Amino acid sequence: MNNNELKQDETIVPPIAHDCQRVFLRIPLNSKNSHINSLKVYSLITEDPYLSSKYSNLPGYFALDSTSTKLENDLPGELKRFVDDFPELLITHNNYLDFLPRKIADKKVELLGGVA
Amino acid sequence: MNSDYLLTQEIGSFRKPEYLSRKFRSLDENELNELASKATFETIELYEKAGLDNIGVGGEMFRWEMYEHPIRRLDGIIVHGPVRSFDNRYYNKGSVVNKLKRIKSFHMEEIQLLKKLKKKNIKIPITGPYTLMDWSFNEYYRDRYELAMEFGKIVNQEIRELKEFWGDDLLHIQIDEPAATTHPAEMTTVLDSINESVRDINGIEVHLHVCYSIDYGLLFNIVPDLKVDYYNLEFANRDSLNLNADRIGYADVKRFKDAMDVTSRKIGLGLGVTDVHIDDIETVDLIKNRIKYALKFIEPDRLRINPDCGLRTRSREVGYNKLKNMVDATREVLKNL
Repeated sequence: MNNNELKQDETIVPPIAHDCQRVFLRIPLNSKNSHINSLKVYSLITEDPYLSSKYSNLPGYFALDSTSTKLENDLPGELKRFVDDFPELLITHNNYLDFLPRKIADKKVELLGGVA
Repeated sequence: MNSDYLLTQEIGSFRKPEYLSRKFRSLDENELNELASKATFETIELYEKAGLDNIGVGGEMFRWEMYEHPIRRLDGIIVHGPVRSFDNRYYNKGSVVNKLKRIKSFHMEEIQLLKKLKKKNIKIPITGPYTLMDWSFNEYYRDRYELAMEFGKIVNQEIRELKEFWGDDLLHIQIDEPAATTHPAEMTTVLDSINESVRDINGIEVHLHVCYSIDYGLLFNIVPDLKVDYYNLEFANRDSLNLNADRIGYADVKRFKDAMDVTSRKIGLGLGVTDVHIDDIETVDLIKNRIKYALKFIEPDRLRINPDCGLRTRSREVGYNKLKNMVDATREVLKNL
């Protein structure tokens, strides 16, 4: 990706503080250029594992919201809908957990571990 | 000379004396009231000794910090624990989990005390609705706009109550919005929620305090539509301490003037002339230079002089010396107007 294309995408999603990670991910996914087809990563983690599976070997899924203190108590139920389509799925959270209160972050990690 | 020229004011917080800060969180309501009142008297004395025209609320001695103070007085928001804001700084971030309702006034103790002391030259800082929204987890309202507007209604309720208590005299209110320009795409939310905060309240002079903005231009774009009379902004932090420098930190004063000219309402600028993040005491000459620079663009009856932000992070001695030099510099500039 050349500098011009990068700048163009940055204007769509300004690279400010906590959105930095999303900017990084959205650059390839939003581009209508040929780069998206040549994107090769082992695992691309997004909100949509079907999209992720097109561009990576191991699809990834943001199952936990790091910007909310609401607990994803029905995580196993939510993930069941992907079981038939993805024999392997990388499950994680969508941002750093240190922007959550510690006790909530701990519970989210427990939920994540419990899924396995 | 007009007595409204170059009025000096503080911005809000001032370092608490140790007898208050060390025990603050463990005090019961009566103890807090007693010690915070004592600290307020002492801080007002310092302000008056420095010569400030406006003494604010005497350094926000009743408040631990600007976010937690109001949200602890609301129903519908819970605090799970401290959350990182940046670097190694933490604050108690609230989660909005239900419809918000104000269960106790945020600042009535302060205004009651100031009225008892017969102080007229006050300005009450109130954390603004956009910042309250931005610094909270939203787990109830449809989106950030809706939550900001709800905070706007709550702030309106608070200001209305303070004004009713204050009576007929003009009451200066300062809405603190450090988050105002942190999400450039949300300036409509900033505009609407601040306007909601002051909607249909008469007899108040509305100040807006914004600091450390990545781009004041975002704010200046909405100036014509904001129901704000004074913009108290930080400039010194982005300026050089060198007396002979080009005052690059004050380049946005010209941009403010351009925004000011678009509206027919009389609005003014509160000029930050001392940096609250450093212990260096800016000299009288340096502050004079900064004021004179701003006077090239803003008429003296529309220009007020203040520190960049609250002085809580500096010692009381450093805070006092900064304010004293600020007042001395202003008086010297006034002599030649």
